[in-house]
Amino acid sequence: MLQLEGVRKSFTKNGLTREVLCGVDATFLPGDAVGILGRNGAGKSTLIRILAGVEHPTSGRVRREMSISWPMGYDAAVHGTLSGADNTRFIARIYDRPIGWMEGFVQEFSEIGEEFRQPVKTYSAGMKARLIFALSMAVDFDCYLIDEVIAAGDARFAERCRQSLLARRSRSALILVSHQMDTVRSLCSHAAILHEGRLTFHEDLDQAFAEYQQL
Amino acid sequence: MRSSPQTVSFIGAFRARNRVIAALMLRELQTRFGRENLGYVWLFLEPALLGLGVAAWQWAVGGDATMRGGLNKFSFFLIGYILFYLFRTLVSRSPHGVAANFQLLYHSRVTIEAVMWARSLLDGAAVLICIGVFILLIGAVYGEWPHDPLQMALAAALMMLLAHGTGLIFLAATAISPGLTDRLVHPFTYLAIPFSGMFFMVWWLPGPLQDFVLLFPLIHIMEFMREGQFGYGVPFIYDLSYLIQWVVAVNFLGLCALRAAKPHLET
Repeated sequence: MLQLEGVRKSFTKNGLTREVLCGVDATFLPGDAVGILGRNGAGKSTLIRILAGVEHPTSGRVRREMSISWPMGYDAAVHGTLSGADNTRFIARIYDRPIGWMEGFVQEFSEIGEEFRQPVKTYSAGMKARLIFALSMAVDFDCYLIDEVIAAGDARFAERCRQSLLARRSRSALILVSHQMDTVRSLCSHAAILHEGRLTFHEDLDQAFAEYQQL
Repeated sequence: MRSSPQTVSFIGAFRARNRVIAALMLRELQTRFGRENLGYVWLFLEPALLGLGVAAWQWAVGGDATMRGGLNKFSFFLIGYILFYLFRTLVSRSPHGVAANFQLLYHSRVTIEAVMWARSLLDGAAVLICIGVFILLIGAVYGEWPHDPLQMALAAALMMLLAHGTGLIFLAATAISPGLTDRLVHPFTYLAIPFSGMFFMVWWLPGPLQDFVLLFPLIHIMEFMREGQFGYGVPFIYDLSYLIQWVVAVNFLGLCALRAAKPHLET
């Protein structure tokens, strides 16, 4: 279970305080596939960074009782000067996975080939996205956080990502943030709308989309 | 095998934490020094070169004049500087703890506390190796072997812990103002030099001044180290329980401050 209770987050810049999240309550359980819709600047990225534990709420509580992935869609999960193999070994160590098995799995799944031994900063954007996705599949998280990942990489790999995520929907939770309704429809069973710092859940996708379009 | 954080035992959590710290140390080695050229050697070469520089300078300035108590001047300043270097390097890099490692925080298992531990342990180990190498060299050249190497290692460990806690306080302070903290930390480490005992021993000073310098924890570590280095030929003045109180206090304060600062740290 991943639970948010009264989560608020504000940023202070040049003496001005802006509240991005003003009291978000949510509970995510294994098997949930939730799409979080929000306009640009609604605080989607802040929310996902708080779910991931990168940032801490200004007030409120986050309870993590599942293993939670890094937010997919950022390059930050890997280090540029290290090779794909070095990054893989590091991640295998922190999540306690067999190192040799994980190297093999990631190299095959990501289809990076010989460049697996080269520094990640030499990779193309697509290769990097494939590496990061393959790493997250190898760790086998209870909950996947996705920030518009489907956009990166080629169409064939995007489809493979989608299939892999759908295949684990029964045992893992999936939280996707997006401003596109199509992405949400292809992966999620229900949706929530993030607007003016608050999160509203909808059991029915069409109802959520209708409301989202009116914003 | 999957387990959620709330259901694993205390020992399991402790092991997981140690595994994360070990992985972070390995990664810090790879990212800080790379694998080419001298690579990892720089980790101990840096304190070694600085220590040699200070020792050579003191030796050149003082000429043949012997030190009070007949201590070996070269090894006095060399080991003294290397021990202080550990404090300086850990504290002065601490304000960048989050900014330099924000990528690591994308992994929910990696906490900023673990990142700071990995850095402290790595630099502590490097300084320990560096001191070990010079003990052997001094022994081979001057025929002077340390009185108690274990005590010297313990002094280095105490220095690492004191610097770790102090670093946590500076890191927490970046939540208030990153720029100001960065500017204050360098004068702080310079101004700490006179109170570190790097250039003198407590018994050289007149009585009231002794009481004053002994208020500062760094000098207790330095005296403790020198007792292990030179033995009982001269008086060594330190209070281990006072020092340990300092170490516990700064680490406790540092952890509390960091906890309070977390919602405001920029990532």
